[in-house]
Amino acid sequence: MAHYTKEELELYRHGDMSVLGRIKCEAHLKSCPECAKLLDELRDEDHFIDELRDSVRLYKDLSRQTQPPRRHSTDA
Amino acid sequence: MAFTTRKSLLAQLRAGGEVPWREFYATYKPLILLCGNDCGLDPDEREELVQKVMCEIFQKDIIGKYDPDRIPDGVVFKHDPARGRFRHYLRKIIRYQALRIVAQRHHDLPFDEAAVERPDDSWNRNWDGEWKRHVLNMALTELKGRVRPETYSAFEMYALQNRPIGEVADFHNMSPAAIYTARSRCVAQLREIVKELEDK
Repeated sequence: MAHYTKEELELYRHGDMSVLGRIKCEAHLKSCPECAKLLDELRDEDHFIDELRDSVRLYKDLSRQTQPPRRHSTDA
Repeated sequence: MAFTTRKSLLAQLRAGGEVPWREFYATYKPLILLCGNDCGLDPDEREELVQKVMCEIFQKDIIGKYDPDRIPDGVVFKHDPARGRFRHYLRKIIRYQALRIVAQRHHDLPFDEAAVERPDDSWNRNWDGEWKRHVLNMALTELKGRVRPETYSAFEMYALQNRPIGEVADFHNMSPAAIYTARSRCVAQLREIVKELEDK
């Protein structure tokens, strides 16, 4: 059988494949080191994104904390 | 935030190019604040650390001359390569100034200048972590100029904001597979940018 693409493996690991497609993919992954490696790469991407997300969140929180205080209107 | 295609700030610094001081200040302030936090400085001391590090870097009385939020574009900074790699130069200044602030806090503690040259393991670990976070944030800004706006937007919603794939696909009128492709493409680009930015 032909190899799975990254997009197909994403559908597989997020449960977006049909039941039959999932069974086929699972069986294929057991016997295909190339596709298994691609799946590992996707997990590695998850780890990278987790680090990125944490870094962005930290910098956003920091920027909120260091914003100068807003002036309150006294016109009302 | 505006999409940018210009050479990154760090790349310009490494190449010995001039960078606008205002942009430099905004980019490096979070890194210095976080390092100050790692050193156990309180919020006022962390702000003091930013001012002292910036003053030392610019070697001019920039802080006294201008409001940091209103610095004219023409005021630029140029890193002298004779001072070594920018990353190491900055790290040393931050540690030196942080130690000075700690010594000031405890009036009875003499300032041990030699300690600047022998950072402990926890300082090194914290610095590596803060630098990594800094580079990741810079890389994300850089990414905006390297991929199509809709690709970035799909990546931002799906990967960074953790929105459901269906919602992101509907919003962009794309298939889930196309969103996954955008994610992979952006991660590959980000890794490349991080590699370029890292001051090894």
